[in-house]
Amino acid sequence: MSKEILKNKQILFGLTVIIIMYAVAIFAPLVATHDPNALNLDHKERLLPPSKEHLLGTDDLGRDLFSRMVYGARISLSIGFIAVAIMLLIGVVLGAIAGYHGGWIDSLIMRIIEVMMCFPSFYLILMILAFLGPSIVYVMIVIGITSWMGLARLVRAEFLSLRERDFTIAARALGASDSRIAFRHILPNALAPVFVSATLNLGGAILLESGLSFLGLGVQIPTPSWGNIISTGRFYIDSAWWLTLFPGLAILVTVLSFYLVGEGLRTILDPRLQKL
Amino acid sequence: MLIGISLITLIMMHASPADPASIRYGLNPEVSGSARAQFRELYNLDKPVRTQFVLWLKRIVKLDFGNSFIDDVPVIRKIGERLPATLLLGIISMLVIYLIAIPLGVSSAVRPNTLYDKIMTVVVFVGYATPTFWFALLLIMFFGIHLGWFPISGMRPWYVEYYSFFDSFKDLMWRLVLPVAATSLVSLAGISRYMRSSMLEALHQDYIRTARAKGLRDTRVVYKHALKNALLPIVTIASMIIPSLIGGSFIIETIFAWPGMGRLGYEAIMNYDYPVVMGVGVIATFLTLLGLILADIMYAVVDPRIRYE
Amino acid sequence: MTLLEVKNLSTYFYTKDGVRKAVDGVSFSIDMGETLGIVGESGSGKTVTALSILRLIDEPGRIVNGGIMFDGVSLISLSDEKMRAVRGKDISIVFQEPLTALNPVMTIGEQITEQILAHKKISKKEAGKRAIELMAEVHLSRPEEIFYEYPHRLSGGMRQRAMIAMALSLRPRLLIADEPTTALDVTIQAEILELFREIKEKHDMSILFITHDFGIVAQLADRVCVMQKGRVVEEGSVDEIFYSPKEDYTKELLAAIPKIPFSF
Repeated sequence: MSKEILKNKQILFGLTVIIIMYAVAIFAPLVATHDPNALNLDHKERLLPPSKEHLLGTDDLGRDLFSRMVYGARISLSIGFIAVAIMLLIGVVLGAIAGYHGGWIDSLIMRIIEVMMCFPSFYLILMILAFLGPSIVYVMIVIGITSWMGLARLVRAEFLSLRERDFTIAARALGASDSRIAFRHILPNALAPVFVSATLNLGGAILLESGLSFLGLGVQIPTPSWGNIISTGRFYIDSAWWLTLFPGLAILVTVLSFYLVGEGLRTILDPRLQKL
Repeated sequence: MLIGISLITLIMMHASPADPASIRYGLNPEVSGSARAQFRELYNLDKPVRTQFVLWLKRIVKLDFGNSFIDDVPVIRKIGERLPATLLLGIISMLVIYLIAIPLGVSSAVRPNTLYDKIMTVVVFVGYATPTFWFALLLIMFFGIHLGWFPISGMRPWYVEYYSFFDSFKDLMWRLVLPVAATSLVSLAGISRYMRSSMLEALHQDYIRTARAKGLRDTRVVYKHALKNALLPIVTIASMIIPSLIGGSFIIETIFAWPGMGRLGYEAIMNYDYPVVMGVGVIATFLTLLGLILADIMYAVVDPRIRYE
Repeated sequence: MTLLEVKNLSTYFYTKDGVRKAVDGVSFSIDMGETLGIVGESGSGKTVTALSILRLIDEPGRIVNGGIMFDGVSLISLSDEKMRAVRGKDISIVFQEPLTALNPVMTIGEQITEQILAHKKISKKEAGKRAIELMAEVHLSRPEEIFYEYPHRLSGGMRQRAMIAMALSLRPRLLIADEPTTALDVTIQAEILELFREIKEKHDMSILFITHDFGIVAQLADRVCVMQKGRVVEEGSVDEIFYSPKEDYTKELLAAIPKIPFSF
């Protein structure tokens, strides 16, 4: 199966882009051409269109856009990563408990899921960030807290179906304890949708973070994030188009890659879809 | 199910006042000591949480969210002024989404794995990955400024009183184009993809084979037999878009200076206008719930198998 | 008089795991008014043969070879449009599982009338009347009510009767029945078989009856064709096959019929 995964062009393309992005982020100091925070208020250096010296132009404070975007990659990518990690933790654990135990725990958890899905999560995020004060850490936590529901449902479904399968009953007959059954036996089989969900949600998390930063409730200036670069660019929308275009493209390409990998994984791992 | 809903609303509202209440007042040094005390009394914050909650509920039912901290206007009035604008945007977006996504999905499904299908898939993926706000800005840049085709902000020009009914209608339509386009993009991608897979699944069913064995024309087979079945799950998806439309409205309305509830909420948050924030939150959740119930009803209407339960 | 003649039919499926020769050089014929039973295990190619006759084979399958003559007309070389005119009118088919074979979101009445209207230019009302007549013919009680019902509201036996009504609606000259009773309860099976017997007697129709059950064959068929792995293994009249089977495979199949032990 891993062979199939690696042969799929869609996934390969997506993975390549993702690896490049992460590499850029990790090696930011080497890739960036200028210091991302170096202000240059000399008006000859401000708002320059892309050129050989400034690959993607400069912003309103004379800072090199390319370098800012490179460092911005660090922020956006790591936020996405940690937010999804949180989401996975909550979602998998709650989903597993609900699916495995059933009964009132299951109903309770399902109710919680329903409630949270009803609430306009974006608004909730805005509220929390505004009242607690925007910071990178809060952003990560908050995104994680609002996106675990779908995953929990999937995991629960997997556990529900796998619980009744022969190998589970066999394990129980042999006297294995509940948690051992859950972790060693069921979980590995339930992992497939988890991977898919994680990848897709990484894309979603990056989108969310950029939106929040754009609104001023995410990463704060002067720390560069693709989203907040666009928000400053907004004021110069008629003159400095590069400030809007490039960061957005970066977001699009990155998120697209995550979606490609996620969808590709999903097609492979879900046998039903293979016919289509 | 009704119990579920009331429980949901109960829990939701319980979560709201407790949290921000204490935090909000703690952080705001501008409110002086005695003013705070008055405040506390006014909003019953000195009573235990449980009582607060019950009092809160009582007021909510009457739609009394208090007055805005900024201009002391009753919150419901403010929301009432802005809600229609948001609803207009939302409903038109829904229509556009469905009217475009369904044919798109179907057209992809009837020629699977052809060049057309592959291109559409790529387009859909790109649309899905596009940040809405960025897309909105691009639209503004290109169609609004560069080409100057559409107005880029506000819902009505200040000189609207001078317009005849027809002209003002035309103006409104024109102003709707960009915001609706921006709002619809992501959902459009998602739904057309879903439509495609739903249609493909329907086309693989046994009854399609029966229909062809009866000698029915291919068009009839596809459009009458398959489509009717494929549309069923799409209806329920509507319930999933509504929350994202409501959530997205915050961003879109801010960018386009659209006088809707979303922007009201955003500005209230930025200004710590607590009653308005709460009010908008409650109404937004209520709308979402409404959408979900509607979707359930619609599903029962269109699927005869569910009707009799 | 030969109605249907299948000569050397081969239908292959080209999957990524290789070529599957579902039907490999099959030949048989059916005379007018005759009932031919095709017997075989699952996977022997019976259903694919039936679908090939109606040219309902889709990718990744293809009819690679052979000829199918129906009343002097070569079905293989007909245009798509002309073939469509044959389906449901001259040759019709009843499938195995009526629950999935019927469209769940259309009423029974709609599904019967649409077939009639696809081939005959009459008014919707007339088609409706005809549908109700047909439903009565197949002994569906209260046909006027069932007309407006959805498939999931009917029992399995009723659904199958509805399918048979559909198949008979334009008085086809060849009726193909692909294991029509396999998915039904035993008692209902008997009823449906009785219905087929009635149809056989009343109408001057040829029937191609596909089944894995020799018992059914004995009741309905005039002649029998035994298929295995896409080939015809033996062919003959019912008596010939039952009392003097020639091939080993046929003998095995006959031996597999459970015998009721009598004890007093």
